[in-house]
Amino acid sequence: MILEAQALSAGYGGPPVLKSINLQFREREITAIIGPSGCGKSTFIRCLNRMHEITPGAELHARILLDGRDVMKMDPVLLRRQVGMVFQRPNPFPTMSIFDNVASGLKLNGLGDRRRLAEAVEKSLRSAALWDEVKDKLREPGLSLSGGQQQRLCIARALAVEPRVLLLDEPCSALDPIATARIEELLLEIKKELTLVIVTHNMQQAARVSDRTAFLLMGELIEYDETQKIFTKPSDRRTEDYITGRFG
Amino acid sequence: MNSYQRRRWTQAAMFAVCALCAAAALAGLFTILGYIAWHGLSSINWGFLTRLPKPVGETGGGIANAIVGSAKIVGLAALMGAPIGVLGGLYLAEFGSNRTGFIIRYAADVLNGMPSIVMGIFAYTLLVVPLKRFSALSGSVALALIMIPVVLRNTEEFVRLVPHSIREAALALGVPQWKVVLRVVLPTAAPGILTGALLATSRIAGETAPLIFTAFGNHFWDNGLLNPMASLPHTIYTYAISPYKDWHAQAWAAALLLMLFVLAVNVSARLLFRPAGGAR
Repeated sequence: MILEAQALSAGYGGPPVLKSINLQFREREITAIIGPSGCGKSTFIRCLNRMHEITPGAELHARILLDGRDVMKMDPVLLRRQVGMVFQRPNPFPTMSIFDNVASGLKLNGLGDRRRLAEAVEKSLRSAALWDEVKDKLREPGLSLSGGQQQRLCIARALAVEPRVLLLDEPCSALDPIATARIEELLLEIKKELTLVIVTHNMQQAARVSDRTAFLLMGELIEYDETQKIFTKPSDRRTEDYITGRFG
Repeated sequence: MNSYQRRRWTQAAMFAVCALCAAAALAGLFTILGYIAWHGLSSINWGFLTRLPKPVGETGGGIANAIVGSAKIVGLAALMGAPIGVLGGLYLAEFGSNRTGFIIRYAADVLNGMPSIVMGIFAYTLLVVPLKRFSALSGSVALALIMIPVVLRNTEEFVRLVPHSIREAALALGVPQWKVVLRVVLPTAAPGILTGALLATSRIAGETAPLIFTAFGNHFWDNGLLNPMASLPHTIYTYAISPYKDWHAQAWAAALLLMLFVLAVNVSARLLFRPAGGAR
């Protein structure tokens, strides 16, 4: 277990959004988190790298362990270098070139060696399957790319700081099917190096890419098992209703 | 008349009213600009731009000292006012959603509506009285005080326009909050902030009242920042209320010069900091 959430409850000052969730993530696996809108999927993964607490009024009670270390006692800045995040909409830095976007995490944390930066940028862009498309225009603004390329740029940017876990919050929901397929391919490629947690409301996507799937409903963890089992023989009635499209 | 025709008539009538109002507003503006240009152009020549004023009765003479003085006073004011305004605005936008922020914001809005002569009086009591002399420095302080609330609120607006997703992206990379603000948020908002600072600078360049009893004015080259100094708006004021015909003509010319300066700053601000590639 590289990452583990124990009795995780969270909210925004009102009624709790998440009620005592227990989930363990295995190293070098892709875990999908599915569930209807508003079930708390995004809130859940935002707790894992403590991005949740930057929202005003956010509450979080949990024991979260990264390699057995208590995340709540770590400096959130250092935690986020190990647990990276990719967001729903591509959000490259508008003032930066493609190169600088990928290098930003390293540069802002004080790495100035140009050769090492260039190496890290190339490696990250290759991992994000974007290198061949942008290698001749690294100086152009990040925003000049298409939506799908921008999202892969954001994945490269997150990979450049070499996190151990990457959280993806519906990374394909703003993309077309072809761009989505390319991202799914690259996720399967990078899971050889790191642990991935992906929130999605696309059940086919969860079935295609993930090793394990967790089903959340109204802030509660209903079922967590191997993806194959969840999609063929779910043990809870509500899981079956959801994946067969009876609600949600 | 059916309802379609009635709507078309209403549309035409309202359009005409709007066009008329726009024309009325522009007419006043262009009349003033044209009038200043018409009166001012005849007195602008090389000597006017490069010579000192002549004593009353002698023809010729220029306002070179006022041009240089304005540049010094306004430049110093911008050097004092812009950094305070920008950093204060950054504070308001990033950390100002509390009581302190509310008070600063409220005070800035009140100061924005304050008559500029009040800033002059403040600078007078702050610097002129204790130093026992009129000085360019006190004029710059008065102008900086006018500039700060304008730049402050403008900076806050532009920093707030930076999408939340950009900050989240930087925070998620493990970048400390202060670095996110300084290295990611500030550069993203920079074109708007700099445009605002330049426009505020051109605004204070035209202020007269705060300079009357601070920089005071001077018919000769200035003797440094701790002595009285001439400035364009103050020269216009002194010359315009004088009884001499040739001074009136020079006041028109100085007004034209000031106007052209403000125009140049405004145009260059918009050209320099145009969003790249037309994207917003």
